[in-house]
Amino acid sequence: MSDEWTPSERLQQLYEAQRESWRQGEFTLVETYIERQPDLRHDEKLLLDLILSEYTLRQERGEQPTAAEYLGRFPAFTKQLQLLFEVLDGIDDTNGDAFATDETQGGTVKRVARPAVDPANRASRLSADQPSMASTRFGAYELIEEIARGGMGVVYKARQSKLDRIVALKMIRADQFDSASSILRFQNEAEAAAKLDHPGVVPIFDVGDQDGQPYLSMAFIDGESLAARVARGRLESREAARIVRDVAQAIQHAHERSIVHRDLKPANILLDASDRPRVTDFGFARRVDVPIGVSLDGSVIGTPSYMSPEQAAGDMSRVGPACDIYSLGAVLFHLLTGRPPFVGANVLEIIRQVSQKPVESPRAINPSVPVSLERICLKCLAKQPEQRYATAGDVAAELDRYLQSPPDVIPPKPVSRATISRSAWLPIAVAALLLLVAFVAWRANPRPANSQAAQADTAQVSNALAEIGHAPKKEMIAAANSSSGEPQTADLNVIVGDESKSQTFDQPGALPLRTGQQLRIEATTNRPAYLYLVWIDTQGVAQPVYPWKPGHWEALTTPEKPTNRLKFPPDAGGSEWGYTVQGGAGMETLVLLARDTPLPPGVVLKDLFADLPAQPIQNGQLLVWLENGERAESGTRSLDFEKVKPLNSQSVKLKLLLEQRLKSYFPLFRAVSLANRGS
Amino acid sequence: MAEDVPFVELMRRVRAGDQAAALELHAVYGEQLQRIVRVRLTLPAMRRQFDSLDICQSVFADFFVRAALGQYDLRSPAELMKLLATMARNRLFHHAQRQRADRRDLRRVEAGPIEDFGLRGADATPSRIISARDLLDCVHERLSAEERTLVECRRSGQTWEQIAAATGRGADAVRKQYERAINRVSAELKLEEIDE
Repeated sequence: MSDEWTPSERLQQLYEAQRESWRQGEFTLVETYIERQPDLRHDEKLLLDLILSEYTLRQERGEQPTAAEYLGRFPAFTKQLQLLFEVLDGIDDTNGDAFATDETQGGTVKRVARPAVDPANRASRLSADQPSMASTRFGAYELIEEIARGGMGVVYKARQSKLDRIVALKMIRADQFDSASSILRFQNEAEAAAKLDHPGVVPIFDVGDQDGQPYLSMAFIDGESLAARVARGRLESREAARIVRDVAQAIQHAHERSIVHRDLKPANILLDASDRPRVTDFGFARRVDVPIGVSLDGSVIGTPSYMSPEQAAGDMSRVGPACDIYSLGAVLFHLLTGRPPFVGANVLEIIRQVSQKPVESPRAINPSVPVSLERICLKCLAKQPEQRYATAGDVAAELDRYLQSPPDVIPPKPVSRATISRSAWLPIAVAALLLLVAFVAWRANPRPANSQAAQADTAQVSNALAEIGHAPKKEMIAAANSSSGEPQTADLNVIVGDESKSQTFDQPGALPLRTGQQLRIEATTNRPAYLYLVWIDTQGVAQPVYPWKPGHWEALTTPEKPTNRLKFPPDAGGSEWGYTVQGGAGMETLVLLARDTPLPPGVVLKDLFADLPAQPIQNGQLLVWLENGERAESGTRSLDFEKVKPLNSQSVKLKLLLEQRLKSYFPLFRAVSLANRGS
Repeated sequence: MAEDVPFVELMRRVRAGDQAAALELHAVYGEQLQRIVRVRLTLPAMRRQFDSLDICQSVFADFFVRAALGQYDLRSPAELMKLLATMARNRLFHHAQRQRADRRDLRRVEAGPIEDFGLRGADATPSRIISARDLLDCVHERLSAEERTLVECRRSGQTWEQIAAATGRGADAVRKQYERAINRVSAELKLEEIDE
């Protein structure tokens, strides 16, 4: 399709697609565009635009992306990006915010006469003609004051003249006016809310279009949002339970009419003068009895902190009432603890946590939370939809029982952290599809094997990794099993050796690898599966290991068949080796893939592993590649997780590329990266 | 900020009216400025009306005239880019204000003839920038003899202190006189919209 566009048209298309993607919550990174359109990598102009645009979009979302991150991700553009970021830091701006500055002072950009405008309003100023408060009429409405402003909409308190009633008048922000998603969201809200008639739902009075500006009027709730309430401090347990119970009843009402809210969060729950919660903003709502629209399929919709794992994964086929039940749990968690279940530096980090990280016990944050209430909360927050309450009505009933009973009469059922942890793994391969890596690479200077110090270091490394949920080597990685329901697990090991001795890669002194060393590979799974092994060398060149004839993608050594134990080479014993370390210094990566059925015809693994970036070692330091896409860097004695930094650019690329390419095909994906110091 | 010697030399040549230097400066920084305008300073609705190239051409033209009048002391590419970005932003802001005053809604105006928009240049080649030199002559004609002397001093790279010492006046007074003169002539010539 890109061939049909002129360069400037293509730029505009890409740019707008990117903005739309981020507006929708899809968070498509520049690397993904490169992956989808490989010729982009040769188009410096387009790439720099996309990079700057992503940086801007993240800032608009409230993130604080650093120049260092981008310089790391795109080292080829270091000079250009350094200048761009320095300039952007020096001009206080956001899109369209062209407040006056003094151009007359050479080199010193001084602001003068900056209008007193709320920064949140900046973006809309240039594209104005939103009804200004100076002109208080808007069709049949008299605008009184602006009461809320969100990413897409602005809400005014207004008087409906003919009926002389106060309403909340919502319209699309002028700068979002030409966004198809804004219009769709607006229509969604009108259609969804029109089907609902429940005291817990803010009613819609009127939907219309005034001079081309769509609007909807709804009941004006003279109170505050739950977000404002909880911002002042966490709620008392029974108060929190009462509010969430009422919200759950309203959500049940919506579900009974086949409407899923999909963006339930404290900001979308208003408390009226009687302190009753009223659910609003059905802009992301979806009718579950209607097939998913193509335009929305695959996108991540909602607010990450309150979003279910399946929603975070963008798996729209699994987005249903259970998502709202998860969100009810997330809201309850927030009310009880004062913060959402997952908090991260940015949206991507939160989504990763939602998909992978076990939910913390509310009582660990606020010990005054009753055990019974915690149990309800955590059941709502189960990673697997089927482990949550079946209906929002069940949540309401359970909370009602809690409220009707003396504290803790519901028998406290211990919440098994292990259960949460196991279930937490399930979406990893299916949803977040991050690289699951547990490897330990030792510093460039090998330490004496078996020394006490070395063993202590190993223990420290193991403990440190275990603390963040990833044992270094024997961690059993679970992934979704589409056929049996039993989580699929795998253990991947690399034995390093030479003529005199052999040891597993996590033993002291085994790493870094050196040119000429021999390797054997072993993999076991908890049940038979179709297994595939691929080796990616330091230059990013992938070599087939199993089941192919080594080095020959087109030739299988044996017909594909399920197995739960794999050795490479197949007849490896104490003296047989399957792989000789070659090439220069860098990171070697072994990838194990598993699926329950053979690869579908037409899927060529060679293509999925083409054009991968080289993997340099930086500073010869001990490196650990964590599953969250960040690299921990340390000196020689132990890992210092305070120093966790973003992966270097090449690692980011490798991770993103592999994720993009493999996630559709392999529910189990495991990679181990080993430092190779070369000759 | 550390002084970038090659850049300062390039700026010296620009200030002296060296057309090759102007072209070189535009070649090096023009695309980056366009990028900032395109991605950072305009909203989707505006982009249908403005072409970032036109805005940048307009900014550069203005910049070259002002630089040739000795207005800037730029020591690094970042300072230059900040200045150019600020000029572009102000230009967009003023234009949007004018649109608003004319009750022209960017959202409703169909993408029409480019001549409707003052920021659009007739062509987009560096030669247009160089034509600013003619305008520079116009500026000189509108300056008093004393003001022309000030401008020449600035173009030759003298600091305000040096000019003050030479004229026996205070540095601030000299600078203010200069700025008043430039602003007056800029307004007369609509320098900000130099390519209209």
